[in-house]
Amino acid sequence: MPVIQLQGVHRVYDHSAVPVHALSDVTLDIDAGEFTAIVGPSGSGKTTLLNIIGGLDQPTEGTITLADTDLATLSRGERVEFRLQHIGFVFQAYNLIPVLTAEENVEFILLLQGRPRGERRRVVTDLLEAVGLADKAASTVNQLSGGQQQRVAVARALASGPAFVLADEPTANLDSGSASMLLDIMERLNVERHTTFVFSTHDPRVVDRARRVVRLVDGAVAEDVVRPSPS
Amino acid sequence: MMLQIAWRNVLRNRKRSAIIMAAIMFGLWGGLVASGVSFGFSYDTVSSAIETRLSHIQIHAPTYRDNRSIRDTLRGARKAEAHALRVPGVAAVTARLVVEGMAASAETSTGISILGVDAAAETTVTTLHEELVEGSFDFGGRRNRIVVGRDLATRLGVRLGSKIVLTTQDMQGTIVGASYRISGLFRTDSKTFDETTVLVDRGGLARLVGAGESLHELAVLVEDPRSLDSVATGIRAGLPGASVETWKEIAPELNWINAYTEVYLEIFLGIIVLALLFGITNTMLMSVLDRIREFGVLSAIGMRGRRVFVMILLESLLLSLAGAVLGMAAGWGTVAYLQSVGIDLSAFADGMRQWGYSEVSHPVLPGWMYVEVLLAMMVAALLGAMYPAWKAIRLDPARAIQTY
Repeated sequence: MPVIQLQGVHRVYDHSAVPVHALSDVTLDIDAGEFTAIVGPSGSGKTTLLNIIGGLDQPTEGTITLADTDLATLSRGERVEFRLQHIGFVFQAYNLIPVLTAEENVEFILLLQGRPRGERRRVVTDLLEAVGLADKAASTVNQLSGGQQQRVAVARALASGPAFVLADEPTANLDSGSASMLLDIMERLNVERHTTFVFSTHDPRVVDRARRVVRLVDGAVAEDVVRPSPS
Repeated sequence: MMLQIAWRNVLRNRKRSAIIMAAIMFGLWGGLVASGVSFGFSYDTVSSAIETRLSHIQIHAPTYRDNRSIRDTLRGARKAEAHALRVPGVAAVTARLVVEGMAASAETSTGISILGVDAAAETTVTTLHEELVEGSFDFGGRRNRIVVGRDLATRLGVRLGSKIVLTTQDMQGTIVGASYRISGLFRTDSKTFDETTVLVDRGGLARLVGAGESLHELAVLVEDPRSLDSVATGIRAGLPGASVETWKEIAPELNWINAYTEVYLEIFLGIIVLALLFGITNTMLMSVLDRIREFGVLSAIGMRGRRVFVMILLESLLLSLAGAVLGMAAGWGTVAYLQSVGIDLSAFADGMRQWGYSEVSHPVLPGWMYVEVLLAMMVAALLGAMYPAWKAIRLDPARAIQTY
């Protein structure tokens, strides 16, 4: 059953004299539990697509239905609340809150959700163990390596119990060892917890692991390949 | 946690935070010390007038203060004195016979007010005896002794031990006069008072003007100046035929000094706080512009605009209060120190005494002033952060996240 449904989505930027068609008639369904990579060259519309799926940007035309909710029916504030409850984000530049420790970054999402303290502690401990950073819980962001920060970002993305996680170039700033460890963790979470991951990437390490690859060219879906499960 | 994040954000750019905190601290420190000095002048002037001349409350015949006629005596003065002493909150009462007259020396003469007092009772109400610079205050038990202001002595060209002649009207309107020997010289903060007031024994003056047991004025000292109005009301209740007035009614110009000083200083501190408000806005705006990507991320992960707004206001509040508390502590310390040592302005004594100002000012700042400044700074902190906070929540998260 699709958690993400895009129907005839267009996104045109008309800030300049010549309108830019970032997305053209994108129709896409992504089911729960998928491990999908959206690939394509720079400027192909990967980030725009992820922003639109994440409710950070709005399509010029078309409909987006996420977890049975039509995004067009939500106000700006409701979209923020929807993201809090249903979407996890992992960014290329990690984007943790620099004044918080690793565990506080994860707990912050739960705090925004108004979860009680006991539950917050339980979820944070569980997630930091899942990403192999239980011993770094009290470390501040600048005490962590890039790979460790990105693993904290994954734990943060999962803290709210989202319907899916959007990861924009998650390995772009990581060395191969860190990238491999991160992908191992995300694959394991996908298998064990059935977390839906959608990546935008042009990193072959990510593409190799993806079980579905959606290729964008000039803002349109040029190829959509589902690979057999490794098992 | 929101408060914790806000405080950590304040500490994030320590130099920037330290600069605006220092601006707030020095701004408030300067404002509070200047206010303390002004309040000190005002309070010293009013206190000096009350303590040396006016007392807290005066009781007269209803028409006395309009006419200042020797015949406008206070009916039932002794009973009125006894009643006043019974009113709760009254510390002491002294009775005066007050007549207008002329003082003449061999060189010149001048118009004066002659206060006939009981020296012992007078010292329980006023502190004029503490202002003596030569001689004694008690007339030496002699009827023809007089205590005068040193400025009057100078004007008349006389000194301690010299004789002067007082002339005035008696109760029948006849001009009478007597010769007095100066037994004491006082010097208060008011040159005008010192040039126009003499004190003589009340019994002797009563005999000179034929006043018998009549009195013109009862001067009352209250135990706690804050209960002034309630004590005055208590006295009035028992003296329906008399005029009972507080110092604020007798000398409204002094009351005006206090009121004016308060208003002036509120405007003065308000301008300082307003200037600091723009500094706070600038700092918070820089802080927001430095963190555009972070606000984009916060919006992306689900932090609603109003929470971001509140977080920025909290940051501004913490930043400003830290500076304000330091500034107020420094201001309090400085005012307390200057209060203990006083500010000696005797170099300008002549000009200041002309207006009744004390030569040595003791800065003072009432507690409510600190509370007002703190509240004003809190309001400034919130107002100053409004625009930066509004800017932060209006960011487009998709574009903000791409900002480096």
